[in-house]
Amino acid sequence: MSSRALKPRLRLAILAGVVGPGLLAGLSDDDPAGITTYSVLGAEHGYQMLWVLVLSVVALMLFHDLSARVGVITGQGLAGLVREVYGVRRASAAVVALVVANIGTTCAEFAGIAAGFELFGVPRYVSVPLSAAGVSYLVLRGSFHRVERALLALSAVFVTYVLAGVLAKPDWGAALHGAVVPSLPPGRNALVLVTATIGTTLAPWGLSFIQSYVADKKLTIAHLRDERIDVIVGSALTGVIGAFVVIAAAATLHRDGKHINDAADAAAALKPLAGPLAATLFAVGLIGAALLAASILPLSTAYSVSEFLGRESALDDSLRQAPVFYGTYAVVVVVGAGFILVPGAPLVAILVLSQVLNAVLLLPLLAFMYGIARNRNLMGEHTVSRRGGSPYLVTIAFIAVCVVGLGVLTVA
Amino acid sequence: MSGLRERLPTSGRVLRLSDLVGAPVRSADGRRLGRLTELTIGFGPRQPPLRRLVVRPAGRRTDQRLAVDWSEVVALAPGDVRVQESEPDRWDADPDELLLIRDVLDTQVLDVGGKRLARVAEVYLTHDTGNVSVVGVDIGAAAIWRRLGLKRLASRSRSSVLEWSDLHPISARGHALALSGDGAGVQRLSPAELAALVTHLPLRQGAEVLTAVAPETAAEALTLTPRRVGTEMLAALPENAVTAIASVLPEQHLGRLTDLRFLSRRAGGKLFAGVRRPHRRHHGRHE
Repeated sequence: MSSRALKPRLRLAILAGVVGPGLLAGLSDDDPAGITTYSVLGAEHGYQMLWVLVLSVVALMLFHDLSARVGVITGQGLAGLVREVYGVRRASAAVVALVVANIGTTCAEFAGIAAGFELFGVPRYVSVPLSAAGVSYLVLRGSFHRVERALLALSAVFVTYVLAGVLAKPDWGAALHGAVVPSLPPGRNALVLVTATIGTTLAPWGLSFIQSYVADKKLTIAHLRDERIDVIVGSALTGVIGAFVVIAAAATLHRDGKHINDAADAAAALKPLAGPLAATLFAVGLIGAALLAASILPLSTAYSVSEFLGRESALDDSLRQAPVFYGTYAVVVVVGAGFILVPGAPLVAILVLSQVLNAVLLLPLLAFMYGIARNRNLMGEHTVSRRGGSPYLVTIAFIAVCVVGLGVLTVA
Repeated sequence: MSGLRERLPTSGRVLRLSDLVGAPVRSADGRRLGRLTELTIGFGPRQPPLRRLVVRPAGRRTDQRLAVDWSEVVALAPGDVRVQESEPDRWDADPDELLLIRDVLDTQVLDVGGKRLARVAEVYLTHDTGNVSVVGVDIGAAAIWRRLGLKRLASRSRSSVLEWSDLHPISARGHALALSGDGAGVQRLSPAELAALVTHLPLRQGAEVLTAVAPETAAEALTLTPRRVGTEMLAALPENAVTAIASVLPEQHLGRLTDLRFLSRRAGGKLFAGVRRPHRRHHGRHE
């Protein structure tokens, strides 16, 4: 063995070995709920509020990096650490809210799968069970690395949004202006969209997923720099994809004054405005995004429940070794997919409740994360300093202002 | 709690830590001193006795805590903690002191016998012949439900009791104290058991465990770990430990455990340097 073996190309190979958690956690934020929010942002306000997406992505980079760092330093997931630092009562409240919100959001993912396939004439009673079976098989039968590779391959579908955005022939100058010049139209609706954009980008389940995943992947302090690259790239891609969704909607739906209710509406509405290819690409992207999120969400929930109960589990564990982990995964998939197939199920109410829970859960979860990162007993020499913690505090304060402001305007 | 007494090595009264925390603490003259916020032990004997109680002072918001030595405790029961001392001193943690709430309750531990990671849901103390000692922990769901007030669910769930001597704490202070003590649980393990354990431990703690056992034992354990885990564990060790282990590792295992693809450039370089020295000695080269 020679030291010449440590060639620069090894650096790339090692980086490739680390990449995964940040990409998956970031890209799964572009789920149907996210695509819907970004589509509505563009359809209602054109390019004007792209800056909100930029700010959300900065917040995403900050907190995903923090999650990954805490996961690497402590080797533990978020739910377990919340229990260790804040006690079993607060942890149980957070986990219960997370499970309910995640099941609701999983319903939204399968609803997105159903709607996307229906655009191609495939009924939901075919697409939803097959998709549920597919994502379950992937996780239950795959090893950690096989699961990760499959999910990363699925992420490639997001390029369709970029193509859809380009095909819509946007005003690039106006888009750039909207991305860098903040402006807020008057009224409650604009604040709703700001809060929804931040909430869908900085999803609680994504925060807990990335920390659990880096712990499961057994990344070490030596991998921290590479993991930061992974997080930044994942978050940036989330922003780029989201931006192209906003741009596609702004260039077509907003220009023609069309209103939409969900991402499937956006895909269908694109056809007469930007051609059938743009609509098809948007729909394919929607299905791919939903499948990725439908794989990640149950996984995130399984990690959280297992960590809270003290049954730390890994993707490489067998069903017999980790019954709570796989049982939770199965329950989330079955309930989430099952609701979509029940005729007359109150889908809108479920989706609204899960988004409300996500928004309610986000602030305490961010506060817990900040407290854990500042806990010297846990983090040792990697404890976040008071000065280093100020960007997190500023972000938490901004989100709190949005949430509280929205609450006040709603009640008033 | 008769069921617990059967599963724990004690004939004395069994107390639950969660029942004690938050109890009002009174002095012998009836004056309220504050609330019980921590109990401390050393880390050595199989059933370490309580050392001190830590009290949050009554009547004022403060980060300061008061310490009461065990010899001053008159009564220790849920809702009833009485001490002789009426003016306790300020508490500062001793370096060899383990805090049961911060460093044990709700923290991760390694079940040495069962070779699995778990999280402590309850700590059991035994009150026997005037002393109170830690006798075991519960890592089962029943203890969680009980602490949340879900008694019916708790009665239908399983307790999973672990004797104190059969666990290795993962918390920073607990892990450090456990490795520094004589008769630490990890030193009683066979290489195969050690390999199973370090595979489940976070990398840093696993490397520290390997440093705490003899190089021959560590080397044999590493040959039994999954390849990537073994390589990363070896790379996480201090250079002198790598050299010591590499010098006793069979040649065929040395190559398998030094696959640099799994490592960062810095870690790979460090591992290479640590391994190279005994390797060259083996082949009669001189530096």
